[in-house]
Amino acid sequence: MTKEKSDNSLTEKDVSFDDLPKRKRLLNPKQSQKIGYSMLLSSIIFIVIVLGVFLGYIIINGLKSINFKFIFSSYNPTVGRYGLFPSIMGTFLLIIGSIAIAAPLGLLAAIYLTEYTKGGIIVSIIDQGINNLAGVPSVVIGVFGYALFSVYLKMGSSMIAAWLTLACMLLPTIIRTSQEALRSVPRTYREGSFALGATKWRTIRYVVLPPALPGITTGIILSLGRAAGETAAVLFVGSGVFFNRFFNGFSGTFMNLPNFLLTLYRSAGGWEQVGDVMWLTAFVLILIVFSFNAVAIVIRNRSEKQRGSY
Amino acid sequence: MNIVNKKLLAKETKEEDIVPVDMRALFKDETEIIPEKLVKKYEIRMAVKKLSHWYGNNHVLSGISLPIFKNKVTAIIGPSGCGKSTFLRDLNRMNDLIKISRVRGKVYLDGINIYSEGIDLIQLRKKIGMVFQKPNPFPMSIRDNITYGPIIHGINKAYLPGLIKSYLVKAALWDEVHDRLSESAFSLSGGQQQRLCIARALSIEPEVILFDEPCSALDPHATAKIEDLITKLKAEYTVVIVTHNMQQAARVSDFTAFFNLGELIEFNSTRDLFRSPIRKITEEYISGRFG
Ligand SMILES: Nc1ncnc2c1ncn2[C@@H]1O[C@H](COP(=O)(O)OP(=O)(O)OP(=O)(O)O)[C@@H](O)[C@H]1O
Ligand SMILES: [Mg+2]
Repeated sequence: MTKEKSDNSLTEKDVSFDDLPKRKRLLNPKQSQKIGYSMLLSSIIFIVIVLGVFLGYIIINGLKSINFKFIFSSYNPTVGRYGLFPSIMGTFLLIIGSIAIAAPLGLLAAIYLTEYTKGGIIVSIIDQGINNLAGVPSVVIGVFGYALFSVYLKMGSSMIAAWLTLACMLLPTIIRTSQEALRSVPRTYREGSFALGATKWRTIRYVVLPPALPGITTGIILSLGRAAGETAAVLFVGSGVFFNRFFNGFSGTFMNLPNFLLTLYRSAGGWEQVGDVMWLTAFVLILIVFSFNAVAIVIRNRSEKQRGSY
Repeated sequence: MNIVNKKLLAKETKEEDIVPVDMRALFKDETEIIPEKLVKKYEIRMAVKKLSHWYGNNHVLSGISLPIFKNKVTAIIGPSGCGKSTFLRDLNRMNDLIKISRVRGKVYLDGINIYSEGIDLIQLRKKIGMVFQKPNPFPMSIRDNITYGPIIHGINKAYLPGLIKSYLVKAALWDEVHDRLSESAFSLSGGQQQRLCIARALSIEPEVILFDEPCSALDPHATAKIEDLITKLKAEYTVVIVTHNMQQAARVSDFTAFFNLGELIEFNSTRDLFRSPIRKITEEYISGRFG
């Protein structure tokens, strides 16, 4: 008050709020609220129906054509055996290996970027680069992985090359989601910890990471699905077919469910012959993704419960 | 050489960053604002000398010199934005976390300038605890909030249960939480959370405790509890408290510093400052006519 007089011109004449001219509107606030709400409601209903039909269709058709002998046998079309097990095993190993590489690496990178850098041009270039990488089509990653791992580093067509290629594909997303999770932890937690004489690392480990964990897990869950379903990126680096065996070694080619579907689709048989098998394969793929997600969610919830519900 | 704190002292510490542990001499040329009789009478625990602070180009503190007397409560008052929190956070180098912040001047503790090179921030913050404006318990159990600090500073696990009780008792929270120590700290009310944060600050046995408007988010009842606590704390600790509330400053503090626009305008015993302020602007502020 002592510093400067306010120069708010409205106060001169003392206009009352109700006397001020009102602007015209198409809808009154209540009407637009109603419309907004019904749009939200109808879109969620639409989504639930589509999702329900989609999943229901796969599950019903998958269960209809379920055939354990088929699921647990190896592959050899020359004798008419389209066994699924090599592909199930390949998918499993692809998920586990690529996540095992990408998750810790991505988390550490995210911690470094959010907690140890203080902005600046280089960091924002890296940040922007990560954003762009997250949007690169997987087939391009596949070409890159083929050139780098299979050819240049001489890994050939192998499970290991596929792990590394998939990890490259997943890293940007894991880094991005982990960064978001870390950033959402209030600065006041960190300050409280530093004020007690904690080092940066201890603060991150005990105060910042636990509340960020659910967000980080969500990023990993999203990645699990992508690793399981990836077709193009692994096509270049070792996805293939082999006969009469479940597993071809880590430095050999592998089969996985998405590419198995592709093989079936391209096979001479046509829908009449392979339709059932394709349903079942899709069903098993979804089952695997869901069970991995379930495990991740259980781990997340348990770690939350251990710390109480914060 | 004088007795200086070996733990804080680093190899790189320069001669100019070390002063006699009796810091009175530092205020010989500051008698215009810092009354000589106070400096003569009371023991100084921390001494701030010509402290200036910038956020980028924004000059928020200029040339603050202030003694912090031992086992007393010093209140920092002043209008919003005058730099009270910045000043307080300079006392334990919390502002180091802010990239654009720049400090010039000296803050002495145990005969060493805490801004000299190579100061061990862990030891510094062990000696100077802090309680923030908004309660900020960690997302852990009540128990873990208290043991976090002692664990950092290497206390043997076997002694932790005893510590938990003693600090919760000191923070006047034990009776309310003794049967729910494993619950989340967020299950406490705002006032309880703030007392938990006080217990947490006590848990590392600091010598000085900084409070930044610790009651601004609390109701009168919770405020009264915390004020009561602060007046009790000064038997063992040296306390600096930032507050917006003039009555609170009058109730809890022994000395008051009035800041305006980044300068220390007046410093005196709380009684004298409220009863007979020397500067006109101080009088206007404490009588509520400006601020
Ligand atoms: N992190 C920061 N970055 C940049 N400027 C800041 C920062 N913190 C504070 N400032 C600026 O420094 C000045 C003093 O802020 P400070 O928080 O110390 O004031 P205060 O006296 O504590 O105010 P209040 O009573 O409202 O808490 C303000 O102008 C503020 O805008
Ligand atoms: Mg403040």
